[in-house]
Amino acid sequence: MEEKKSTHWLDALSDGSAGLTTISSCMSVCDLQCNNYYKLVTAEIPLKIPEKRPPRLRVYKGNQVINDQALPGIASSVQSLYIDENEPKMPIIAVSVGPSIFFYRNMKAYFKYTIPSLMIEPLEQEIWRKLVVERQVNYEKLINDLKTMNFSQMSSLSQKLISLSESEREEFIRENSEPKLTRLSTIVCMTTIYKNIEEEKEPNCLIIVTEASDIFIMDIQNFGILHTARVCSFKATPDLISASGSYQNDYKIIISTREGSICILRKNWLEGREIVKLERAATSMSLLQIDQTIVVLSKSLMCYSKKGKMLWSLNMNDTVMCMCPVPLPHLGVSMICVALKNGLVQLYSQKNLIDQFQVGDTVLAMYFGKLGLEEQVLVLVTINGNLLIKILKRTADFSNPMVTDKKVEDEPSDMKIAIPKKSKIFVEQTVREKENAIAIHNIFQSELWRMRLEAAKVTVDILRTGDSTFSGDLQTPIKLLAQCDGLGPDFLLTLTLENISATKIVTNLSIIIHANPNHYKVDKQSVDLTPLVPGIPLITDFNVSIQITSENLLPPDMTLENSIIRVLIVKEKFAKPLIASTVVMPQPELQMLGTI
Amino acid sequence: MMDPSYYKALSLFRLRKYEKCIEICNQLMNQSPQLQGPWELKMRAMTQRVYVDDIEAEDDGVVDDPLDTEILATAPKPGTSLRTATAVKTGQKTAATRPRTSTGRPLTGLARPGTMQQRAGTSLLTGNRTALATGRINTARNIRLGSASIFNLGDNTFNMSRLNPSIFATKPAVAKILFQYLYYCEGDIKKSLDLCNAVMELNKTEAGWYWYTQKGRCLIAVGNARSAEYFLQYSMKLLTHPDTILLLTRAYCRIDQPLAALEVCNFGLQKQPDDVALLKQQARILELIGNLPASVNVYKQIIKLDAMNTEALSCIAVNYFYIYQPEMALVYYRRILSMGMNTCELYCNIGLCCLYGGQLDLVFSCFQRALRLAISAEQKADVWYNISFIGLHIGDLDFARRCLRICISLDGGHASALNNLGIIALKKENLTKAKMYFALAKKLLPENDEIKHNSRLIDAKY
Repeated sequence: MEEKKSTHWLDALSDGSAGLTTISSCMSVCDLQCNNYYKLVTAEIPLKIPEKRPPRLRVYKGNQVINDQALPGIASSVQSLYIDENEPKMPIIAVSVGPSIFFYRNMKAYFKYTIPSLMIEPLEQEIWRKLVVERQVNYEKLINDLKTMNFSQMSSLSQKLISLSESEREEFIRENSEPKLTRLSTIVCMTTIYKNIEEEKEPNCLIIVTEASDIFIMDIQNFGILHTARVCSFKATPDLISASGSYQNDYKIIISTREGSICILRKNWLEGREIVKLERAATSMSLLQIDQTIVVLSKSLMCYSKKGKMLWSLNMNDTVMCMCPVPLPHLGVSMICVALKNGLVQLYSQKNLIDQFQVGDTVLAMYFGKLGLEEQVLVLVTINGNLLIKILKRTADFSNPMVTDKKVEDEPSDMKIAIPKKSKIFVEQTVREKENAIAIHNIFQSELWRMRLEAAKVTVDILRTGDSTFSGDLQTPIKLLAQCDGLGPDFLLTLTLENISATKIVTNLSIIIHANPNHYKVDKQSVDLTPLVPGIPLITDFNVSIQITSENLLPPDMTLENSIIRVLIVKEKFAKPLIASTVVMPQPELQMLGTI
Repeated sequence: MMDPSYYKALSLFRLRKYEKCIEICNQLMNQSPQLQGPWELKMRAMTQRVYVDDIEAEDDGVVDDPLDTEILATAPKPGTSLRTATAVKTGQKTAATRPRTSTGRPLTGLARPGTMQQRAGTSLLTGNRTALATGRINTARNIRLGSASIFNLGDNTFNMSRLNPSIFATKPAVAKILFQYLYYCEGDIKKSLDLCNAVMELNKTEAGWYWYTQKGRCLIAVGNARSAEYFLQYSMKLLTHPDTILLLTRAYCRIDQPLAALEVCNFGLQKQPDDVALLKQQARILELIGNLPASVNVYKQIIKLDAMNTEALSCIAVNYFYIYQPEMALVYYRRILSMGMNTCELYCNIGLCCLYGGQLDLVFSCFQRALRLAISAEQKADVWYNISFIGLHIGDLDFARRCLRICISLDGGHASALNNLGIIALKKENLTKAKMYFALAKKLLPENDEIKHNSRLIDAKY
């Protein structure tokens, strides 16, 4: 990645002293005076708060400020839209500040719209009704009642009242003897869709999204609300919005929330539907107009279908700052421009890196589209207030991906999980499960208890008889292994005792061999063992021979079932053997009996 | 005229009432010891009574021949050797999840000798009972079956130690019967080999395919598979008898050439298409070299020809189980059950299929039946091991641990149970205990990947 300078862009203008700080949503480009000379309208976001001078709304022609006026507050979004089809088509600018939207025509403010108030709690209304008529002594009780309410669900008036000191309260209440209780949410983002015809300079509708998760679709002609909807069924705070379509025909609105959900709202829906849940909130999001996929920039660049299926994802080398779609219909490609914190600006077509260039400092806001008389211009605003304007060369060819050594991540759709086919039996069984869920559960639970009892019984049995190769005793954890060698009638029985505890030494152990003397002759009946050290197995050999009759036959009452030898491991002063195990002796090879 | 009692004996032989047949033959021979008919008949009856299909009952394992001086490539190409752990091809991910035997082969569906050595080492003492089969020669199984029965009868009519093979070699009709008697009933491989040699010496090249095949059989039995290959190949040139082919495949498996064995199988199948025995052998070899999908396909072919073939049914069922289709496995197991197989293992498998297939109400009744049918300690241990999975499934670790403890008490060599106990101990943050369990499991099954991984993990972590 040595190639940081791209040959596809012309550096048209660069103003290092523009002093403009803004974000992508507060940038809008429009043909402000209807002379086919597109201008940039931005609302300044002061980085130093509190800033002494109020935030500004500026119009740039190239890098020259041609209009600069004060805004009543920090804007959250700037949109340009067309009201009607009357010629000349003059766009109006909508700037959202707090709960209100200021509309500018010809850069003159001409309307202020405030979104409807949220519901006021009846309790609050009741308290205020009493406050106005009550005497000062009773204020305390009423205010305490007010404090029981959730602070965020109070009107601003009540919020202020609570924060006042006792002495100031009386005056405040007297001032507001006719309280107008309103609870206004803040507008977090706005976007536009077309009203009827999806063509440039056709009338628009404004989509307003508030922090309280309400979506309003507004007809600009009469400033009336056409449609109201909720972002999603659960509590979420919207953050970013992207939409396409026209109000009359069909439209989709994609909303990203601070909780990491991405929701979709279609025409006539009253509530959005969550389609994707991200690990962390999106930094930037866009519904691409061409292939109608949703591109999300979070920690990585991800692309989802409208159904919420991840199409691809791409890890980014650095912290991402912002993103904007770069549609190039004349080349038949649609790209995404991503700015990284290290000042690198990259262009991706799908998940292929196509082009990249380096900018002096971190890009904060981006816009791609018409500017001035040019069709394809990239506007970049950096964190230090630089305004950079780059024009795409008409000869630019983006058909070949850039060769980089960047490892392309595996597409998630390629990772096939081996899910077997749904067989007919599977479906039938599932139906049975669904229909008899309660009965199945009851049977399972009662049988489970029975099995637990069974297991407990067997365990007790094993503990009682010591019939195990393990000694369950915590003081003497030992393990016995036996091996029987030989073809018979003489066998070599090898017993291996192992201390399986980590630290403890087991002492005073003995082995007792218990066999039917009519069947087997054992060279030693018992052996006293040396202390058993952890990790070192102790091997003891026993010579066992079958008591053969004079005709070279097995003892008459010896069968397969009773050809066993019991091995007991006992510890001094313990009444019960630690291990009482049985070795099944193999049958001797009878030809051998004949020949020996 | 034929003696009516001899005729009766013949009839009894045909009716497979061998004991009675032998009785009458004894009477006849006591009357006139010179008669050849009853003598032959008795030999045949005794052979039939203890006859085991040694092709079925044989251990297919590769034998390390101490006399084998040829040096084998230490790293054979994957899929060409039975010595190496199975070649798992890419895209065959399901095979990797199938449990392996101690020799690293995928677990098969039916307990055949040599395939079910999941339990490490036969030399381990188990709680209640243990069959201590020590490292004897491979024919031990056949020998014991045959010899024990004679022994109990106390019948020493035929004194084979003084038998002169060259006399019998001249009588072709008797020679075959005698050979079978020697091989299957007496289990005297050396004598039967002598007889083969005598016949072949007498007739030179005209001895016929039968004797070449039998010589190969004897040579395999004594562990000389390389020489057996020559005789079996020769026999196959004379006649492609399925027995010869099966013996030849076994010889190839013994000398670790599964691909050659498969080739022989294919050749045999060209001559005798749809021969179930050959198909079965093919499927088994494919399974041994780890080509499970191909093996299952062959088993499915067998099912089409012989819908009652338990081995094929259970192998297909096991395959379905391990490709996450327990409901399909259940269908096959139920078919085996309806065929009258009423064993502990089958109920255990059905129980597991029900558990994984979500048919929870049937799980316990299956396992309870399996417990009731379990006789040996190993069987009981296996059932308890499988019951522990219910505990793991419902998150009742104490129940699972209890089941596993029972399993270990019954069978101290159950490495998987030890491994799972280790994991439960780790979950309960009992580190020293977990370490102990993993160490024990590793000692029992040092080649098992899971156990290796677990003990490595715990060593690295703590």
